[in-house]
Amino acid sequence: MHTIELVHVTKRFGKVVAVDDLSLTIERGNFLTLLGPSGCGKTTVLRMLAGLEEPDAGDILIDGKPVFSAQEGIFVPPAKRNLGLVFQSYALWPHMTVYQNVAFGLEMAKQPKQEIQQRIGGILKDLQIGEMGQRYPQEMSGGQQQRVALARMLAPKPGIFLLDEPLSNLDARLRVDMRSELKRLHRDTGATTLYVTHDQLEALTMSTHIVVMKEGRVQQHASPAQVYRTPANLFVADFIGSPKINLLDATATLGEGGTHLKFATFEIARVLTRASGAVVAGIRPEDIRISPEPDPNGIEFKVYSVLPAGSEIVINAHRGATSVVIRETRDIQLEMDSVIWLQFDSKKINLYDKQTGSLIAAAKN
Amino acid sequence: MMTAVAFPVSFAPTARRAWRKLTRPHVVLGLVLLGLLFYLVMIPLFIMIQTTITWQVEDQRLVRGVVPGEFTLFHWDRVFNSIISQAMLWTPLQNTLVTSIGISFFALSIGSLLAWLVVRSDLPGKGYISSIAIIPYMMPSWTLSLAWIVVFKNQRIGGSMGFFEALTGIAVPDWLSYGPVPIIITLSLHYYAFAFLLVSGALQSLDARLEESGEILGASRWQVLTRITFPLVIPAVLSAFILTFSRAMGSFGTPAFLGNPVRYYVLSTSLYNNIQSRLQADGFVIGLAMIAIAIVTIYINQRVIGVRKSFATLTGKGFTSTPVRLRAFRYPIFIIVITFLTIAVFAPLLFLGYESLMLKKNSYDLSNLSLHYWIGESNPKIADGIGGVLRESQTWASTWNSVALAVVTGVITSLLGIFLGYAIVKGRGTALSKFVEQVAFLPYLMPSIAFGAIYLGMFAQPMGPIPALYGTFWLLVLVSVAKHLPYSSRSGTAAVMQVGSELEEAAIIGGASWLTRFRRIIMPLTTAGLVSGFLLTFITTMRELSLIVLLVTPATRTLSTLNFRYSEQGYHQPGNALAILLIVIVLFSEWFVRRLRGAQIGKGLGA
Amino acid sequence: MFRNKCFNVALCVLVIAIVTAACTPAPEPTKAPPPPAPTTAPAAAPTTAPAAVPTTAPVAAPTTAPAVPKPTEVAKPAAPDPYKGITAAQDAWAKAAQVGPYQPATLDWDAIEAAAKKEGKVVVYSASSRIADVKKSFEAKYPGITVEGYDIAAVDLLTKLQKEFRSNIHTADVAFVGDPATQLGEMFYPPNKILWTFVPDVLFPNVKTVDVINQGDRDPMLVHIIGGYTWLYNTEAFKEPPIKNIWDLTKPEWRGRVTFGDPQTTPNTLNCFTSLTNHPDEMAKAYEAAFGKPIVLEPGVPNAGYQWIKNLAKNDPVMTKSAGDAGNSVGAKGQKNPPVGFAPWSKIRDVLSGNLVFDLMWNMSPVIGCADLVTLSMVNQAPHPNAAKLMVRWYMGDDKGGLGRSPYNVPGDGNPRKDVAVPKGGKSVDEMQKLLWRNDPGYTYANAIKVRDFWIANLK
Ligand SMILES: Nc1ncnc2c1ncn2[C@@H]1O[C@H](COP(=O)(O)OP(=O)(O)O)[C@@H](O)[C@H]1O
Ligand SMILES: [Mg+2]
Repeated sequence: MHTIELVHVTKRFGKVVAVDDLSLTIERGNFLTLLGPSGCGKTTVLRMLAGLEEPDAGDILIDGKPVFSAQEGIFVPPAKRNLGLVFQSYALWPHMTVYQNVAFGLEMAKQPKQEIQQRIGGILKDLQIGEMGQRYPQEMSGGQQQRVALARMLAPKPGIFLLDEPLSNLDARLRVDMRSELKRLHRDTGATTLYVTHDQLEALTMSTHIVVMKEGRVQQHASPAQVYRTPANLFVADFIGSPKINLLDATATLGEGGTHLKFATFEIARVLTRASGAVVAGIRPEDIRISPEPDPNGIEFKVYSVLPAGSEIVINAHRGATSVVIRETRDIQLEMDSVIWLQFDSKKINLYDKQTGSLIAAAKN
Repeated sequence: MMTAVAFPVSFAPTARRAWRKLTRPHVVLGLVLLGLLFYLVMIPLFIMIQTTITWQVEDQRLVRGVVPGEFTLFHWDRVFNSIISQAMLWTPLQNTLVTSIGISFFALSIGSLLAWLVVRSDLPGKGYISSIAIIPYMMPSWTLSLAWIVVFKNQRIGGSMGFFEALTGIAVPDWLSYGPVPIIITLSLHYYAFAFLLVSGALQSLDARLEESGEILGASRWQVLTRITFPLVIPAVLSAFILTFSRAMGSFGTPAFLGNPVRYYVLSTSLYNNIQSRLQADGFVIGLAMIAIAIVTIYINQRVIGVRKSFATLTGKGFTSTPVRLRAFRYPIFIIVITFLTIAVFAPLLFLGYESLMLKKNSYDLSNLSLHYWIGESNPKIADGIGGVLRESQTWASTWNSVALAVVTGVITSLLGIFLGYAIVKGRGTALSKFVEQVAFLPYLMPSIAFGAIYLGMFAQPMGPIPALYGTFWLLVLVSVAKHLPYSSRSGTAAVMQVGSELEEAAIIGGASWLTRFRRIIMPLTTAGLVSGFLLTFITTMRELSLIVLLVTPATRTLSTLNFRYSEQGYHQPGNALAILLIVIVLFSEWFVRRLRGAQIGKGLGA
Repeated sequence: MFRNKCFNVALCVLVIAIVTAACTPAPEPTKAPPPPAPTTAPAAAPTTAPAAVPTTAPVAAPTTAPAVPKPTEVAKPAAPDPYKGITAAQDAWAKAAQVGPYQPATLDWDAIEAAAKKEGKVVVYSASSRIADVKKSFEAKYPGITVEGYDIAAVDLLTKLQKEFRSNIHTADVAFVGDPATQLGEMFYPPNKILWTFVPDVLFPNVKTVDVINQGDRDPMLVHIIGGYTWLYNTEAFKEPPIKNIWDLTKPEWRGRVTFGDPQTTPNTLNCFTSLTNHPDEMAKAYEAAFGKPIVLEPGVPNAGYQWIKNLAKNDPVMTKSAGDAGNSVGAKGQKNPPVGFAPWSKIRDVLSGNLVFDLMWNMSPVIGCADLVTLSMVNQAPHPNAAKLMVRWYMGDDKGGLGRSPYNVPGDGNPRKDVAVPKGGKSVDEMQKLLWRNDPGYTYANAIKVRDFWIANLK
């Protein structure tokens, strides 16, 4: 239930600039996800916020009060920042039982034994590991260890949750289950949450806000829907979405009724977003309509591969050297090498500057 | 005006930051340890150097009218460039290189082979073999040479014959009785266990999947061994070589027993001879030469494997893999290994035991056997009245001293090891961490005798925070702790490295102070390393001789020094009885601690 | 992590340490001029030419050893005063303890004993393990006084005393140790007044010391053992001594068959070899007797004694770890071709007990061996001076060689007391004086290391 601000924060490790002049605000109660490829500095941001790492420059404020300031030489130690942290590796102490692990923070806060017992009993039960207090972490499954790590974070009732890829060590099914539990947890506690992941689906499903990072810099800070619909640049566009967005080079000319896009092997007219010159068009796979029958408005492609996935089908189609991916939710039968006709939804095409990669114009949606 | 005001404003935060950096636990710890190392290591080295370049009182014997304490290069000149240089330095140097390289070569070959068989093959009885194989490491290195003399003594130093000659009637040639050959053989039989520990540690942490992928790609066993296994463990093997080499070079007892009778001197015996003649400064020059050689070897080693070691990232995790099948060779190899271990481990004990039962020195007759030197009453006609060792109150007093010294040193050393490990690992990459690590290694290179001699003088007065320790038990503890620093920092580093830093950070978040973290997280998680380090120190301290021989007093005499005093005075039988007693105590303790805590002395070496 | 990084820093450390060491003063608190060189009192050894290093002003200190050792020829100075220049503290102690210049002509032994009982303890640094027996008998005689006996090798004992002195630590009361050369050379005269001679006025059983001990054995130091070191042969293999002349040992037929303690590690051997260089004329005469022609010294060889040492070194001698081991080698039974050797005379007790078979080469010219002394001293500022006095008197034994002397009352370990019957196989102090060359402390101090160097340089 705190506001968190990072102001022009920079962190170097030797020559590597792990976090580069990063500014970021997390409003109270928000669930903000740091998303980006491995090595982009997410963990470093989280660790600086936790106080495990000292930035080289910048300020960090919680509720407007600086907990770190390079200028003024302020540094508030981690334990005084009212936050809890779950490490990617969980970092459960192998020589302590589950109970002892969870009780540690409360003991440090010199809480009475009685209260500790009650609190931990409640948390363990809530997290469905109530019977396992006397076990050692090694004697538990990955999912259970994850819950212990959460319990340990929750026990002292922190106002800020820091979660560093907490789900990445779980198998696919468990991960999906845990997502909703985490989301529920966030809602029930209302804690301001900073969540780190490289999994875009996690980010999209759980967060109220997403910050996409690359090489220590923020690429985009927006709501999940915005990040998905209007990625701020090619990097974000490419990173978000599965199957991946289609990015096709085109020459744009402003014409009647909209922009005219000339691709290598076909053209699209009357695109609503306005631009001219060398651009890259970003088209989500679900924004392409397939017609197995000849369609005068469609463009002829050849099916390269068909990947049915139950609820949807992912189709890869070629036209000359141009290759596009389409996501189709209708149950249609397609053969490889068969011919199909594609219609691009001209209202939903984002255009990016080919030179800078940044969004020139967003499709209105 | 403006700047005068602005200055403190911009300065204070910087100072605060710097202060915070300086007060981080591992930095504080590193600085404290550096201070300690300064006392325990740097000052002794400094005194050693200083002694060599100043006149000493005893130099009056050679040069009249010298003023003690004044600067001179006399000792360096005398050692390097005088009529006795050849005999005092160059020949011993050559002999040292020959024996040390020979010892390292054989010890490494035997040790590595055995390590591979035990870790990777389907040799029967591997568990027993590996427990037995390390026994020589727990015996004082000179016991083997004593046993060698018992067996292969010839008429050269006259007196009684050895077992061999007594049984076969064949005169043993000099080269087999004394000199480089027996020195190399006996010390190889001791140090192979050291190499075995180091290499099997490396092999255990080698990911077997690397080997298996080679196999899947169609490589034969031999190809896997030579193309994958060897290159991966070679850095470990080479570093084991260097470690063995340095230790072999510094060993004193064996070359003294087996070399001196044929005037085969090595640097350590030459150093000792000088100190015996109260030519301490000359001895220290030789000691510094030994340090220099060790540094050069390390430098060469670094050059040779510096590039390669980068890919030898051993994961530190044990991997169970299907053992290599020896097939038809399984039992023949087993028999060879057993034979070898019998020769290296049991035969020496047997011969020493037998001699301790011989009432008169020369007679191998069964009628000459007696338990006198074990349980006999003191009889002035026999060995000047030294009674059976189990009866002598001296024995028990010194046993107690040995055990107390070994336990106290072990506890302090292993704790210090964890502290050192913490400062080194957490400060990884900083100059302080590197410096601490390197200074902690220095005692490894300093000859024990010289080390002891320096401590004798150094801690006579209060020395900074350390009170005068002269003649006390604590001086023995201090010198033993200092000498073990290289091992403790190594094992401590390995142990702390195994504790992921997030485990500590989780406690930071939880609000634990550094002391709490250390007590509740670091210590419990490094227990295995701690106990292993303790065990290693315990064992080596129990058998330590040259380090403390100058420092013991009757009140603090240990088993090994009592043994040395006996054999110095020619009382071989009670001496051997003591050696056996010592070995039994060590073996029992090792067994006990291992059962209790599952510790392994290999871990104590940081292997 | 262990093997690699060491080099650079270690090297830096070395360099820095050398530089710093070169720029800082020495740690020795005694930056005083060298102690007065030792000397023997004129009457000390009637058969030896007294020699000592004169206490002349220091010559410019050469920085290299002379390529060829020259025996230090010395003029005979007046004996230096062992008390001149002692510190106030030492003087105060001596006064209180009534030793040195403050020792009265007759001592009140009852008072000493009473004071000793109050002190309750006496600390003995002994180079002999038989201190255990002395402790037993002393404690039985004087209940209430504990003996703390330190059994330490001689070199270490002397080093320990010196280090303690320099550090102003006073633990030891009595020093029982050989090597009077070093004791007189470095530990007897101020400013290094580490040892004090205490001669009891009477000994058990109430005999006047001056009546039973020659002056040379109580001045400047009190001698406890005149340790004989002699050449031996195996009596089983030889009906009579195989060697008549010391030069025979250098002949080819004894190649590889002469054994003795390594001069580098056994000081007695070195001292005795050194004494040969102190008798060049006798050695030269013996050469002529052995080879029938006068000796011609090789270039660089200072005298006949040195020449003998050189020739012996070239004759493949066998060196043992201790002097006693050489005796075992010579005397072991059942040898076909036993060596001859140089060993402590006291080894003869193994012959008497039937363990070994050897005898001394009684007729070897010019000498059959040498005598190395073991002395008894009080340590400077001893904390228990009265108990120390009792201990010294106890050590000197009674007229039967008993009490504190009994563990040492063995043949070959000559007793300076002339009123004690000589044990079987030994000789009296005066007979030993004739048979053996007594090592002169002053000469030994100034030449032993040179002889050692000469020996080492000539060993193959
Ligand atoms: N303790 C450290 N020492 C040196 N480099 C580090 C350290 N921690 C992180 N880095 C570097 O900083 C960059 C960002 O790392 P990190 O924040 O862990 O990335 P992410 O969590 O996004 O995968 C990487 O290049 C990494 O190698
Ligand atoms: Mg990360």
